[in-house]
Amino acid sequence: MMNTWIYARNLVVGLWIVFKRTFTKPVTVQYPEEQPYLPPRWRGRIVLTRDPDGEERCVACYLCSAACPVDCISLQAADNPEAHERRYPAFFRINFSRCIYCGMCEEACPTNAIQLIPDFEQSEYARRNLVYEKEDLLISGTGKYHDYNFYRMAGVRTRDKDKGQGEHELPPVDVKSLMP
Amino acid sequence: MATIIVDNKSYTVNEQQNLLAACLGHGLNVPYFCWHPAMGSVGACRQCAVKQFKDDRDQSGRLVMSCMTPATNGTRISIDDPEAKAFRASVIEWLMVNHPHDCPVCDEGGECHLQDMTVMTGHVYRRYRYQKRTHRNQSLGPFIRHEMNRCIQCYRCVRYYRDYAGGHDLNVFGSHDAVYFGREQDGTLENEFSGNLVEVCPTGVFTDKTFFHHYTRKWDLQAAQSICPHCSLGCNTTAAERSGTLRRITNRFNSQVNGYFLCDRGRFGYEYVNSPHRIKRAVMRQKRHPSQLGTTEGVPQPLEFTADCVRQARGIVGIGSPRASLEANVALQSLVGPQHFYQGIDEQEGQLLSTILKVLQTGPVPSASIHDAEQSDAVFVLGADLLNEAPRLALALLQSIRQQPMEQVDELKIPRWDEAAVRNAVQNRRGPLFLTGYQRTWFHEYATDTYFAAPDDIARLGFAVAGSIGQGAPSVPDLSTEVRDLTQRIAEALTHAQRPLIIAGTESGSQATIEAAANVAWALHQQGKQPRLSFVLPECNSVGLALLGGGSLNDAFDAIRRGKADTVIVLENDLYRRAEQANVDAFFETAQTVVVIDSVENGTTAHADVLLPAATGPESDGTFVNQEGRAQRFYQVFVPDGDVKESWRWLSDLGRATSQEGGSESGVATWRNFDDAVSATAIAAPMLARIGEVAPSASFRLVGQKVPRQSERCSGRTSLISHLTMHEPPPPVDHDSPLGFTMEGYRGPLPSPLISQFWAPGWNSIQAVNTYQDEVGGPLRDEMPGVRLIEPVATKAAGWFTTIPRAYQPPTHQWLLLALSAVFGSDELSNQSPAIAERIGKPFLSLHPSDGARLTLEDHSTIDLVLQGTTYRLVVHLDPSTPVGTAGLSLVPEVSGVRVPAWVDLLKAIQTEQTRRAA
Amino acid sequence: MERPLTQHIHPDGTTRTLREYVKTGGYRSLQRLSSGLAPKDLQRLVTDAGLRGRGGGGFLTGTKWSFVPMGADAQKPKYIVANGDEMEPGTFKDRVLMEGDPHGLVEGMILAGYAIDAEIGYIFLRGEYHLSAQRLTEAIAEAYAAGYLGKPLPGMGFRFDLHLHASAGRYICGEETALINALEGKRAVPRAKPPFPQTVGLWGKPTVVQNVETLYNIPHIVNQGSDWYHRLSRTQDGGTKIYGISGRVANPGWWELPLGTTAREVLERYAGGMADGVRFRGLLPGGISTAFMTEEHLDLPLDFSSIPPEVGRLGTATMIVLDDHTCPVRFVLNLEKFFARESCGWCTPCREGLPWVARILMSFEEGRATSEDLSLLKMHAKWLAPGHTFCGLAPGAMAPLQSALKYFHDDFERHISTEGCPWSKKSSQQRVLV
Repeated sequence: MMNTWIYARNLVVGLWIVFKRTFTKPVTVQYPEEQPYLPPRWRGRIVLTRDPDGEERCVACYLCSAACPVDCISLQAADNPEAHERRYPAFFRINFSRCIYCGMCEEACPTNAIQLIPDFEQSEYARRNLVYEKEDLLISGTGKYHDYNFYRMAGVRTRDKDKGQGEHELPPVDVKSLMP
Repeated sequence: MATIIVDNKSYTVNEQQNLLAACLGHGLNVPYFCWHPAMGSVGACRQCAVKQFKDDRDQSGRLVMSCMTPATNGTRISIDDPEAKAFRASVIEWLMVNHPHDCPVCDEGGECHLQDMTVMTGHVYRRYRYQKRTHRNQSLGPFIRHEMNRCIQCYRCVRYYRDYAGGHDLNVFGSHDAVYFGREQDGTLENEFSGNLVEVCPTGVFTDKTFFHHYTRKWDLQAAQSICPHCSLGCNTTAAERSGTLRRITNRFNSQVNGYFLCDRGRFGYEYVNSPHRIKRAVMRQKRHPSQLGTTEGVPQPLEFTADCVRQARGIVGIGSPRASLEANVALQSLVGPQHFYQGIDEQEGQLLSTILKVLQTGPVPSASIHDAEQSDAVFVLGADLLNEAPRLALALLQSIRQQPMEQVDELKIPRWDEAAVRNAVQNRRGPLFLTGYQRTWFHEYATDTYFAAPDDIARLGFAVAGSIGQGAPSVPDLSTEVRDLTQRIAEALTHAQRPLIIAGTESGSQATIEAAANVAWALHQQGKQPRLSFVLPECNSVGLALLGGGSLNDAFDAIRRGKADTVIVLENDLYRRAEQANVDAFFETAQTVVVIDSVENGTTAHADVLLPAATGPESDGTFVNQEGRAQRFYQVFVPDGDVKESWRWLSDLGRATSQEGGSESGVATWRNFDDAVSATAIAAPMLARIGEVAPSASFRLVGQKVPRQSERCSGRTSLISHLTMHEPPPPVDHDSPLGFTMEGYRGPLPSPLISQFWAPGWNSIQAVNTYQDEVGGPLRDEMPGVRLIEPVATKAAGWFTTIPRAYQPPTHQWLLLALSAVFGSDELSNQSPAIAERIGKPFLSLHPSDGARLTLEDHSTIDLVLQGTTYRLVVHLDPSTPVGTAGLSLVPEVSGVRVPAWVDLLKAIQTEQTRRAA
Repeated sequence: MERPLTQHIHPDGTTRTLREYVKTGGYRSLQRLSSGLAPKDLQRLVTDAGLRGRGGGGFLTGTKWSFVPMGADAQKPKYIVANGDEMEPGTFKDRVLMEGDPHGLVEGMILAGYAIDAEIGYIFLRGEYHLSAQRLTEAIAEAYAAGYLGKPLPGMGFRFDLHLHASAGRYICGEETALINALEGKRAVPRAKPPFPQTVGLWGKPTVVQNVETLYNIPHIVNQGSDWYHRLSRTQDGGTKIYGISGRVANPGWWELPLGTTAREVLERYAGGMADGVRFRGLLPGGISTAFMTEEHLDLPLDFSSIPPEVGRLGTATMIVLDDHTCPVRFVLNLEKFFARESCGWCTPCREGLPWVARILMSFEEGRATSEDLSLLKMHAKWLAPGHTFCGLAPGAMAPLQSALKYFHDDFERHISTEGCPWSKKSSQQRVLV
């Protein structure tokens, strides 16, 4: 007899809790109309960025591919016909089906070229569509780091920056001068 | 031996060394820049500072440079002393003051000695906040890139280039922090050993330009041990690949052969592997109607077709090659039978080779390694142009001339590693080096005496020297005074030396030169000295093939011409480089079926009915025997694409296909993997018995593991081919060797034939070789530097060679056309590299000025020369070192069909502008 | 007071001819050679006299000569080289001697050559000393004509040949081994010692490099003996010394005085004290690669043994005075700029460290210095020490810096705290271009 009352009481309590919920605000986020807030450092899709002067930042140094724990980045430095052209990747490929979004590549990159941005919307039906080439990765902006232009810091000569024109550089030494 | 105390621990060291070398030999990490194991110490960079204490009570000590301090018994130092560590970090800080922020775009990154030393000293913070000095670069030619901003002024480049390699056009300019290392004007670096600058320079100032064109970081490279195929010296190299392209060649240390250095031909001549003229598919052509038939599953059609031809042949001719591996040659010999196997070299070369082998096998004098040559204290070279034929040997002789003056250095108690002091004490004194030949090069300025003469006269000089030294040796009676005096000087120098060396070459085609060299060596031996002999041969496996034996090319031509055979298999040999064009054409025309196994298109492959794509050296395993008789193993770096396979594998498949109907397999058909090839080679000729000892067999494992070809950081594995397919196939399995095509495997001490890349923790650059040596600069730990197959058994010579040629007197209107080897241009494979091709000179004919006058030719004029039926356009070089009555023909590709030596009536054969106009 | 080196030098700047020179006893010492003074006797004489090198090192000359291998087995030819490269800023004493009395150098070299069995001598002369070059060339020609050079000396087998070589420039050529390299036609980079030039020197042969002023002393020692030489000086080191003073003193110049004269005496008695309106703050005793001496040190005898190592060293004894209207930081900046430019570029600390030091001092000058800069300066003063660098240029460069940091530390601090040079804020007329 006692058990029946306990059973009935529990049933009513349960139903009451459920009923109360009719009037509370749902926590459902109506994605994709509502987007979640993701901080800027949230590790999502990988992009290749450009420097403030509009040239691609990637100098094909291979540090990102070396740092990647799953070896999903491969690239090849292009052979520049003139030695003072910028170095850039002839191809740059990321296999996103392997990428674990750890951000080691961004940490390794010395030019702030490769960055992870808060975008997770990469789902595909076919795995082969998760292989991104340079055209898929290169964006037109500077990404999260707005000011850095590697070639202004480096010593090499490029189209836009001659020897001695970088930050903290003296004009090139004149070897043939007799002055002390 | 001495005992030194380092950080309160005792170590046994060789007291002839300096402290730096002694510490490095014990695995103690002392940083350095300007010291180099082959070039000694100069004390410039101050990086190697350690704290030295007077005794065990001395608490303060003083900083000394370990590279300039002798490792005397009882020396007490500390490497970990805080002041020493702080000073070393400061040295890096000073070097970083002007160093550009280039690492991401610098080719040296990842194998940079400066990076390693920076990490080793622990300097991290940049406190210098002023401006950096910058430099303009120079274009230094197709081999080397120049980026002077990165220079840390270690002075190694000029010390190497000028002092070690004898070059003149690289120097240091300016002073204080504006010193500049470069040429006086932009231009190609002239020295044939300039390529070593990329390894000698500890930063990215001098880098490999050919590598830059397809740059890969060191950690991404798949590498394996290789042997340079471009001359007969057999320098050890490491060939490295990525994504199916061979990327670069670097030096692989071998204490007996190449040591730390290569020549430019070997370093930059590798692009034939990537050539667009590579044969990638097995091709079957109906005679003269080339068409390419694809391969079906299983046995490719060309193989079937060839097997049929072989089975049905009336007779078969197998032509081997001195640039193919031993195993490939043995495979061919096994397939066709020894009586049908031909060496694929001309009669004269074969004769010379067999004389050389006889001299080395039956005589009492051993052959010299390059290391022996470096240690020689008197050298007599008969007729070989070492700089162009065997460059690394010339580099060794530049060091040999330092041996004799070392006596005085020792008397002055100057340690031999104190390089600057040694050079100041020695000044311009040199040991005896006698060079004879028929073309002067810059190398001759280091000779004690030079003698330019026709081959017969050079041989006569050799015989005269032998006659002067040896009792009973035939002498040469009718010599000029000048030559008699020279004979005396040479004989005296050789007899007073401790380690005399006699070198002779085969380029002149002179049998007498070889015999004269043997007489000299035997005479010295008879007098109780310890001479060595060295013969410069044309190709990387000339000796190997000669030890195997086989008929001459003429005999092969004969067999086809007389109808005794109708099927030809040519192994890796362009016959147009071996015989007159008319004969080769006839040979190919007459043969019913021509099967060619080769890697790059050439004149012979164009005549193939069946063309089977052979793997190049870096794509296969094999053994070469160098001019010393040293058998050395090279390994496959990567699996080639297309139908490309090792030659021996083609032949073994062919053997199996041929014997399919017959039932049981025998010979080459039984070969399943490379070990089988080696075993068969070991029994193919008595002198080859020790081939198996060269390197561990394919089943060799360490702790059950293979030896990886890739570094642990080899990257990009999951995206390298993901644009082609999402499948990730397992890496290929190598059944032929203990090496693996992966990153996995054993990473501890290895037998030296299995070491491809030198690396140690903290030592990512080529300086890591130090960690593999017990005494830095000496042999690798437990080194197996190849197996010398030919050692003398006799205790004395059987008898002298007595055929002394008469003094050279050309018939009227006849000139002896002689071969002038060109380091860039004469070697078949390296010519395919664009960088090497850029350095090949225009073909020229060199004549003595008096002959030039006689033929009314002007220096640098252009002529047309008709040789053996073809007209060649040549430039005239009037050169007093060209012997009168001879003419030198530079062996560059345009004239590769010419057979030399040969008699030519130049009066008739030359057409100048005038005669052409007059005609 | 005897002034053997300079007593006959014309005050009007003209030179002394051979005839004049011989009349006052010149070349008389050569007669002693033929009358039984063997090379080893000459060496002993010079050792007993206590002659020390006047190039700045102060090394006993006789001892230096004793390291040269003698006898029939010794390598030949041997060389005696006069270091006339006088490029130490502030130093002009050798120039005085060479312009005023060139034959004294010739005679000194013949004697020095004889002492070490060297039959060939070179005078390595600073290229900018045109007048000295001209006068020495004439003197050498006169000596050849008179038979002192080029022919065996009367009654002897010994003959001496002397060559004048004018340097192509650079301070580092004053370093003896760099000088030898320059003479050989190589880059003027110093050599490591050992081996010393006495065993492996010019062209690999035994060589002694001697300062010009030192060589001038030798004929007088030979003529008058070692006791006389000792009597000339005030302290244990024998002989006289040319002392000089430049800077804001009443009477800058040079004077030949007994070795061991105090700085105060030279400054106050001979140079007339400081100029009007300025006070003494310190002086560099011997060219710029020496440490500052201040008021408290003025009574030390200026010789090679009396100055304690923690105070400094004598150097060349041509002093540069710092007055209180001159910024010590700017003073030292000028010196360090010189040293940075004159580094040969061989070893790392000097080549990279000195320009850094100069730039730090520039930032003091410009008011951009921080206290980290002070510790950087001290770090360099500590690291650029003998043995740490390849030669003595960098340690010499650090001597004025280190002592300036010691004695004028407050001035450095004020540059930082006031973000500028306190001296520039004073009257701009007083700006000193050192």
